[in-house]
Amino acid sequence: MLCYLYPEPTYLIFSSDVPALLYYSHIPTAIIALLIGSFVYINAPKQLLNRLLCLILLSFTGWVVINLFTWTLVQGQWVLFVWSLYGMLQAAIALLSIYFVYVFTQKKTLPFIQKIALTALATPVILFATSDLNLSGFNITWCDGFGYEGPLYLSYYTALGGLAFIWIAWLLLKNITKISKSERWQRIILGVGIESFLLIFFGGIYIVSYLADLNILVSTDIEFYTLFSMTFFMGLIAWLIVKFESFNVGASAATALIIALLILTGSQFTYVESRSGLGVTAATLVLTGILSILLMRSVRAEIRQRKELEKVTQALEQANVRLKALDMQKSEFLSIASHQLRSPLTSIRGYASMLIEGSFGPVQAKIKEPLERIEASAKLMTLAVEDYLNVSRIESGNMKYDLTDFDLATEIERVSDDMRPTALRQGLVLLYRTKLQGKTIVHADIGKTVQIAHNLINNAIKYTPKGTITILIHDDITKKEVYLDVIDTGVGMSQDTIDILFQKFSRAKDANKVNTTGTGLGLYVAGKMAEAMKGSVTAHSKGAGKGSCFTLTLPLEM
Amino acid sequence: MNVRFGEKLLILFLGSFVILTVLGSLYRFIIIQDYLVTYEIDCDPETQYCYTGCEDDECFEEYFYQEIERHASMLLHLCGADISDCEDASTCTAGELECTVTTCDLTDTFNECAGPNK
Repeated sequence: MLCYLYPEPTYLIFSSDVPALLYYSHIPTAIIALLIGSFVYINAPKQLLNRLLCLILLSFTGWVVINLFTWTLVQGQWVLFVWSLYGMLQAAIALLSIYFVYVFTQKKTLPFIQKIALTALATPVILFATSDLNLSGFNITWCDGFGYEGPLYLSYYTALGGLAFIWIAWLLLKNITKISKSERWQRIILGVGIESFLLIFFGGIYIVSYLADLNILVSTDIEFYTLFSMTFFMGLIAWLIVKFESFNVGASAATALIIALLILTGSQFTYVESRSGLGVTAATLVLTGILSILLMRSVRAEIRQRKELEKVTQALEQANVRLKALDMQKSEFLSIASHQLRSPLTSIRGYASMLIEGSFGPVQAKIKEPLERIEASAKLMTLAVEDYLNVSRIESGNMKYDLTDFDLATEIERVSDDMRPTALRQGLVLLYRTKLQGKTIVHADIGKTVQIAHNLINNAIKYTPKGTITILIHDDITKKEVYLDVIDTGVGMSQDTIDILFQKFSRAKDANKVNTTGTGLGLYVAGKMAEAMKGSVTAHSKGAGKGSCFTLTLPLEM
Repeated sequence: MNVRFGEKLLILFLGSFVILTVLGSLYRFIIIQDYLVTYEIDCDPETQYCYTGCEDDECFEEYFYQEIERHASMLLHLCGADISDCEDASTCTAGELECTVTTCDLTDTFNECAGPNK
C-alpha cells in the first residue's frame, strides 16, 4: 500500500519530507558502528570478545538501517516488514551485550546453561515477530505502524534491555575489589559506555513508541537522539583500544576511529542548512582533519615506542638472567679456587712459623728475616682468600650465622686489647671508651661481630699514619640500638669515596699509596654480615686528611 | 550431551529460527499483505461528525476527515497499491469483514470534532 501523501525516496533513503536530523543521527552512527565492528573483527577474528562486539554493532547497524527505511519508504508492506524486525534486533543487542560483558570481565566464554537461558529469553521475540502480537497494521496517512504495535511484545523486548542493564551491572561489580587497577578502569569505562547506551537506547525507544502508540506523541523525532548513545559507547570503546590495547587491536583501530570522527563531523553537512552553519562545519571539519592527522601520528608513534620498549625490556630480562647465571658461576669458581689456595697457604704459614721458632734447628739471622716475610705474606694471602670465600658464601646464600646473646662491650674491649700492640707498632694510640645507658647485650653471631670489629680497627690502623684510634661503644635506649664507633685521625675520605666504599672490590682513592694489601672486599663483607644480623656498617668523614669514623650498629636485645 | 555439540545445535536452532521468522514476515507483509490499514477519508461536517486537521503548520486552513480501518488485501483488491484516486477506498463494501469507519467522538476530549451541532 502506498503512502500517497509522501514523496518517493531516492536511493531508498533520501527523502525531502523527513527531518534533516534523521541523516545526521543515523548515517554517521551506523557507519561508525560498522567501521569499529569491522576493524575489531578483522584485527583479531578468532577472539570471541571481538566477534561478540562485532555482532552487537552489526545488530545495531541493522536496527539503524531499518529505522531509516521506516522513515523514508512509502510502500506500506515494506515498512511493516522491516518494522517487524525491530524486536529481534533489540533482543539481539541486549542479550549479546550480556554475553560480551561476561567474556570481557570473566575472560572466558559463557557457561552452556546460561547460553540456553539467553536463547530461551530470545525465543518469544523470534516466535511472535510475525504475529499480531508484534505488529498488526499500518497507518497510510502517517505512513507508520504506531498504534498497531503490540504493547506486550514491545514491553517484553524492552524488558530484555532492562535485564541486560542489571545483569551487566552485576557482572561489572562482581569481584571488582580483587582485580588490578588497570582492569578496574577498563571495567568502569566499558560499564559507563554500555550501560548508558542500553539505558538511553532501550528506554528512549520504548517511551517514544509507547507514547506514539497512545497517540500522545505526534512527532517521534526525539528517538533520533537515542542513537547518539552508541556514538558515546563507541568513543569509550575507542579509549579502551588506545589506552589499554583491549580487543588486541593496534594502530589500525586508531585510524578507524579517526575516520569515524571525520565522518561524524562531515555528516553535519546533512543537518546544517544556513550558509554560516555550513562555514562553521567546514572549518570544524578542516580543524578536525588536521588534529586527526596529528593524533594518528602520535598514536602510531606511541604504539611503536611501546613495542620497542617491550622488546628492549625482554632483551634486558634475558641479559639479566644470563648475568645472574654468570655471577653464580663466578662465585662457584671463586669458592673452589679459594679452597684450593687455603690448604697450601696453611702449610706455608705453619712451616715458616716452625722454622722461625727453631723447630727444625737454629736459624741464622740472615735466613730468619726472609722467613718472617714469607710468613707475613702468607698471612695476608690467607686473609685475602678468606675475604673471597666470604663473598662467595654471602652471594650463594651459604654464609652461616650462629646467633646468640652476648655482651658487645666485653667482646669489643677484648678485640681492642688484642689489637693494641699492632697499633703501638705503627706508633699509634688505641683507646677504648664507653658511653652507655644500659647493658650492651646483642643477639648476633659473636665470631662475625668480632670479625667486623677486627676489620674496622685494622682498616683504621692501616689508614692512620699517626695519631689516635678511638674505639667508642655507646647506645640509644629509645632506638634500642648499640653502636661501635672506630674513630681515627687518619687520611679521611671524600663523600664520593664513601658512596662506593661498601661495594665489591672498591677501594678508597689513593688507598694504594697508604696500603697496598687490601682486596677491596673487607667492608663489603662487613656490611653484608651486619645486614644479616639486622644491623649496619656506615662511614663518615669530614674529608681528606680529617680522619674517619666507621660505625657498626646492632639492635639491642632488651 | 557434548557441550560443543550442544552449542552448535543451539546456534543452528537460533539461526534457522531467525531465518524462518524473517521469511514468515516477508510472506505475511509483502506476499499476502495480511495486515490492517488505517487512512483518512473525506468527511462533511454539515452532515457527519468529523475530525479536524490542519493543512499547514500555522493551521490557517482546516480540513475534515473520518478514519477507516480495513484489511490491506481487500483495499489492494479494490484500489490497487495507490488509493489516492480510488472511490471505493472511502466506503466499506457490503459484507466486508474487519472494515470500520470511525467518526469523531464528541465525548472524546483528546480530538477536536466538527459536526452538525458544533
